[in-house]
Amino acid sequence: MAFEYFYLVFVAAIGVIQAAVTYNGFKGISFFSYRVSAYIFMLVTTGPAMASFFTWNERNATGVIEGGEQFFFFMLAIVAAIGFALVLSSLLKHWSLRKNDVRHDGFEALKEVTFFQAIRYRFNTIMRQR
Amino acid sequence: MITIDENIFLWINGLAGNIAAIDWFFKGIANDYLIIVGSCMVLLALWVWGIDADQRDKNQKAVICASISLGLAQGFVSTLNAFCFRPRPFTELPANLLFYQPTDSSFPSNSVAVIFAIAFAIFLANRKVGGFLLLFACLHAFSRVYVGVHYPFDVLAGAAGGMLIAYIVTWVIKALEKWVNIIMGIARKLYIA
Repeated sequence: MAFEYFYLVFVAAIGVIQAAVTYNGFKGISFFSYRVSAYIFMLVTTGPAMASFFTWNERNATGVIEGGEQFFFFMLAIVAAIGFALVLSSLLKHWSLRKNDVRHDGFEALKEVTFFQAIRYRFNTIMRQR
Repeated sequence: MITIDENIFLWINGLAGNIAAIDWFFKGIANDYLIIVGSCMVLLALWVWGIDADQRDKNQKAVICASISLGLAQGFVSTLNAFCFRPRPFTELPANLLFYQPTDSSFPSNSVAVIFAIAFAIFLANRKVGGFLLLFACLHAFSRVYVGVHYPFDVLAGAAGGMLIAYIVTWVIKALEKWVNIIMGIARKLYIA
């Protein structure tokens, strides 16, 4: 039951992250080049996951995950979903964004480069300053 | 007061068991996961949402307030439950129970406190998204009475407690803005905010 909870939160979070970052123009974290693809992805991931939460008590009639365990699996699923999104988007977009410069600080930079390209830029800047 | 609470419970819960589709709808809304996970998904989306960096910064601070409020609301209910136990309505009254039988204290409603804490913290920064979340929080609160697991006063106390916590957290975060900005600055250097 805890695994089912983890899996559903993970899938729902992946869909939400993709739709939100694609809508807001963060090419560096998005798996997709077109907004509509991200929205369809959210419909097929977050939609069924939320529907499964809606029918949770029909599948698990007396099933409740204890508060602490629920919090642990929720956080684990969110961190896993963010990590998965950062790694996969960096792999998918590495070639198409590799010639872009990091012109902004913070999250804004991920509109032009992938997360790992931005981290590498930060690391190189620190090394140059030394 | 208790009689009024019981009478309102009997009236709302008396609506259950008449139309299967409505029962099914409120049973889904009342469960412990849907609304809370759904609200957290909204927080996740808000973290990256905004037409510019300033709006995003405002949204991210609201998400921080909501996350802290969520934790404190949970703690507030657990602490209150340790001192005050109120039996569930289905153990004392002829209720239409559409749900499993929770064994913990009925007062105050845990899930309602948490969801109102999240929704109100967002509402203080973003009226549109917060209003939407508050609407769902009200629906969840009503559904908990409808399915027979809480008295109206339990959900009202949960909602009031959750909102009060969210208000205090938002005020404290504003007072500590200098420190919050330092933490946000570090997060920005790591490209996560």
